[in-house]
Amino acid sequence: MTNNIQTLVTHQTSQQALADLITGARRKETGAFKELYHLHVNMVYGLCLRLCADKSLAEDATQEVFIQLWQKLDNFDGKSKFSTWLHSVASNICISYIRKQKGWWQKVVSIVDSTEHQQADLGSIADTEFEAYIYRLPERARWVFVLHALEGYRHEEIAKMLNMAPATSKVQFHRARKMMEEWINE
Amino acid sequence: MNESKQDLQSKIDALARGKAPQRDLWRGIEQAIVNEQDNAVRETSKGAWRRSSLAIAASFLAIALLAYGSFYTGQQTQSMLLVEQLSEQHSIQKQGLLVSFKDMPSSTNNWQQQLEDLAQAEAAIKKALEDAPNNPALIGMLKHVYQQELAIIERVHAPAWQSI
Repeated sequence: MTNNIQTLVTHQTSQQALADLITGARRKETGAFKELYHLHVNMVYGLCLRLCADKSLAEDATQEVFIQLWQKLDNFDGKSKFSTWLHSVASNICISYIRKQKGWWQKVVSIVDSTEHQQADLGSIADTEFEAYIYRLPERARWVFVLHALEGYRHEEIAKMLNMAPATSKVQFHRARKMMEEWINE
Repeated sequence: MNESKQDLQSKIDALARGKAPQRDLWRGIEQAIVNEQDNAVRETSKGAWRRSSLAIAASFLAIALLAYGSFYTGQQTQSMLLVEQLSEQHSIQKQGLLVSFKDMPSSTNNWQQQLEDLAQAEAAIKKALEDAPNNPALIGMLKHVYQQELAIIERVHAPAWQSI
């Protein structure tokens, strides 16, 4: 009972501390925003890395997320948890960042070179064999797999994010899951 | 759920969601947001500068318009004053002449009609001067009309020997 109360008090205190940081960051206090960054950077970077499958691109996308967060913090209405809202913002920003960067990158570098570069990079970013499988997935299948299986988004939400039909999202997820199962069983 | 699916799901559940970046990303973010704030301040001060410049320009324009207005009004007043003085002077001269020639016979009978025509011309010039008080041609015409009036009065009342 005492432990439950303590947990509740700790939770409420941390929620209040988070609310104070958000208020400070909205007032353009760099110190408060830096603390928000440290609290959430691992979550954002983890998401970006799995969506990008490229360390350098994920780092840039993470920076882009926090730069845009600084500008869009007023859009947070407090109806959902801050981390949930940030997650959604980060997913959208990261995907549009990848599209923008890859569109530009593919005009400069040939697809073969790009694939070789990615293959070499994958080994260094995956902590586990399973994680390496995620990075091996084709881009659209990986996006759907990460957003649905790891982050818990519904196919309708993913369809909106990725500008595709919900049925396409389901197909891509099925494809990704089959590939993953095969690789695990190899 | 078959074994493969279960295996996959357990691996998904076990996967740590967060991941620490290997390099410090904050420095780049800080630089960007500080630059953005600087730009915002610069834009605000630019805006304030633009507003104050506009205010200064507007003040100068207002002063210039006021000065020009005063100058213009002053000029207008001066012209009207000149016209009034001319008229007054002419009226005195005319009355003086008429008084002096009151008992003298006139050489023609239609001299008053001629004065009446000149009075109409005077009225038309004065009306035109209300719209263009600084018009020197109108002022010159008015002077000429006044001279004509005085000249007629003098001529028609001059002794007969002077008109030979």
